[in-house]
Amino acid sequence: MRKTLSLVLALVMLLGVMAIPAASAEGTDWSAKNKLKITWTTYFTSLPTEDSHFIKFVEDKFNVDIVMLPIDDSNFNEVLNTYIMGGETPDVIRLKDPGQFNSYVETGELGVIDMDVLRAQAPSICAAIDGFREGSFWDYGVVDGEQYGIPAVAPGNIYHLPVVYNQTWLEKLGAEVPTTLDEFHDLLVRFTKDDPDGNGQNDTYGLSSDGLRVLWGAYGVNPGACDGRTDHSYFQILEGRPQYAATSGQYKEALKVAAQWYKEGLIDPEFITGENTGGYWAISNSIINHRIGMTVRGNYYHWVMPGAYQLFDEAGNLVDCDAGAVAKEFLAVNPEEKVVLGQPVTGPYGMGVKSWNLLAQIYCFSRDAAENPEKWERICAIMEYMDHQYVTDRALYTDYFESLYGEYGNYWIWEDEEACVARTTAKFEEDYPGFASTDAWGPTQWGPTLPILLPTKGNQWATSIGYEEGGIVNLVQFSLPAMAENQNNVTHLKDTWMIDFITGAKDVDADWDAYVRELNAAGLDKMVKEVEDWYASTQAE
Amino acid sequence: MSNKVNKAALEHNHARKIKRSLGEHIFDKFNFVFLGILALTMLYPFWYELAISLADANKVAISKVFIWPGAMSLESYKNVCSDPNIWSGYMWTIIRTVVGTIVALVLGFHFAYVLSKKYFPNRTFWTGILVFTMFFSGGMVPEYLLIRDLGLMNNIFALILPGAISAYNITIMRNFLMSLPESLEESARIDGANDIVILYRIIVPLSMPILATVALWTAVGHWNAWFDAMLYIRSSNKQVLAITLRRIVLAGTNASTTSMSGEEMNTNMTSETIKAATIMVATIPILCVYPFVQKYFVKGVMVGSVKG
Repeated sequence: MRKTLSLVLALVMLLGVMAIPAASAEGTDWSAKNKLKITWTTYFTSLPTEDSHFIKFVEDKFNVDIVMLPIDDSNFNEVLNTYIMGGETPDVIRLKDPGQFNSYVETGELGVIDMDVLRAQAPSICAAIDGFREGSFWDYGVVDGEQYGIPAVAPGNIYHLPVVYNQTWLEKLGAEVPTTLDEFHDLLVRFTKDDPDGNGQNDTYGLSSDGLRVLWGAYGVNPGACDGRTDHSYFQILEGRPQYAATSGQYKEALKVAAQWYKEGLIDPEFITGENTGGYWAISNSIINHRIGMTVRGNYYHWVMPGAYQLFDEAGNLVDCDAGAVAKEFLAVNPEEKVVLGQPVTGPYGMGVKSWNLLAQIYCFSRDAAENPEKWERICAIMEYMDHQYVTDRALYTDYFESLYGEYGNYWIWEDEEACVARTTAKFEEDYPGFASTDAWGPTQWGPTLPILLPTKGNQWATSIGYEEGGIVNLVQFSLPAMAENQNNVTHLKDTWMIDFITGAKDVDADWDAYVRELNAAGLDKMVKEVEDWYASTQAE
Repeated sequence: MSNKVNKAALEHNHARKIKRSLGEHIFDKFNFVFLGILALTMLYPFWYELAISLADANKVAISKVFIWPGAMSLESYKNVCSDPNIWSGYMWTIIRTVVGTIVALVLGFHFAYVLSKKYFPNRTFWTGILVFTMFFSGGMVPEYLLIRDLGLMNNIFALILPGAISAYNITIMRNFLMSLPESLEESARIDGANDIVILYRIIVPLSMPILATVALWTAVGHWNAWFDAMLYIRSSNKQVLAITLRRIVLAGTNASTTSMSGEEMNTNMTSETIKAATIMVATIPILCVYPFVQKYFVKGVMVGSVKG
């Protein structure tokens, strides 16, 4: 009897072991396992409240007790350190600044990830990162050959910054959207001299601080705008080696052109203080107020004109899209006018314009979370589930959305069923007031943002106008230590000198060496050395 | 006779008024203009936010609102007030402000009163102990550990007790109490008052101006505080108003905080009006406290207390 029993038991165990690889993350019954407590940090601003519909749902489904630890962006390291010193290292940490990653690994607070479990429990996350830029982004989570973090990639940033023209001005002048640097220059002259706003006064200019990005891009570099707020340290591979964009030879050439343009009166003298004089960050008050004819500010979706593309409404009919956030402001001031999005122009070094960084954050895990197999398995499964918003399998997606928002048709509808894009209804907003500010972003911040671009109609449109091409990408997607330490001073000096060079207060040829010397003294040489070493080590791999 | 003298005195005063020099006139005018402009620079930002908060974001260009929005809408207020945590946030903020201020005043005033007495043994030593805490603090991590080990996590007292003794406010109160003449205490004692009576019947009524001042500082401090609440309060239904509002404001401007490295979130311009409405919702209640306290600031401190 006993023998039979043990045989049966052995057989059951054997079957169990064999069944493991076959069991998908979906099929696991977590309620049969131990209830675990998991502490999780996300964006402070989009932190789901602990009694929210969404957290409760996850707690039930995965048999866990989720503790949300709020960390405010402005004191991120300070607060995280407090939790760590208090012995409460969060199990899942969304590291806002990937540059801090190494220092947390060095303190021994982070655990090494078991990649086998991650691949078994979170196949779609792994597949997405594997498939993006040949899986190279995994390296951002590696320290000394061990995987400590999962990269969160912002796929929307594959689109470069928008090159925006006042279309009404173009039409009035009988001009086209320029494609070469020469045509661009001619257009700026006409914007400046031919009174495009028709008020009889010579009060217009071609461009201002942000529009200069087109010129820099035509020379293959992104030294940043001179307002010191939107760009820090851009490094690029120029002449076969990593260089700081704003001390490269190509930038020097471009500066001479900029100084010439300034002399011709094409650049708004107010470029020194930038185009945004307050309010929402992506607004260019200069173009809205008819000082300039073109700008490069915000993202493509800020500038979309109403009806640029069509999307599905709640009844499933195709309707015109609304104006983007900044376009709306433009239209409120200039109801009769339009803007048009063009491509960067071709210059001596090709064509291009700045792109935002693709590496947004790094997800890393406490030693307890990574080294406790039961906990790690559960975390992987939860993250995989969260990322079902990226899944294009209709059944999975329906399940996910029903669990998150409720009944189909009543609370959510397909915006585009084929592409698996859904959205909540007005009734949902009514029945769950405040959900939008606390829950809606929650899910997207739970797990790593994946490098899968949601095929929304807006994104499809941006692809159709060619915005995936021509972005100038930063070589270093996060701050290295010397960069973090010195870049504020260096950027400030770079901006000051850029203004002096363009306005003619300093001469590009005569004062260039002094400029480079001053930046080096402020710490640029350390930053360059560090980037060169880092680049050499990544190339060696 | 006395009437005549008075009349002459009046005329004399009148004459003196007229005789003010040109320089004085210019100085006065300049003062009016200067203080007027100063007052405007303080009022205008508040007025501007009010105008933005009332603007109808769908009809008005927000960047063109300076004095008054053309089309008005209460939509942003509706939006802010529909957040489920706003009202519980108000409740906890009011509790924390009221209880926190009372605790700080009661403890602080008695502390200050004792330190203000010259005959208090080892007075310099105790004052030194107090002042020491102004310059050296334990820091955030030890304070966090202390609060946690005291079992105060997720408890309103975690927001009240750490700030109950403010060395700065106590020093201010001590200096005020030291300026009260000792003869007050002596005369009360001659009339048979004991220490307790002297403190509560004589000193406290005379100290209203300083109590009002310190109360206002403490109350405004509690009203605006959010960082301690973020660290110590874990349940959203126990969270203070400042945190909830901060979340609403930041949710609308996420792009600017992530633009350095992360993806630009697709936010809407209406967030500018929501932001402004949030600022209004947060500041108007505490602003209403000022008029009630202001008379104590203006009033003379020692009027009629001791007849010479």
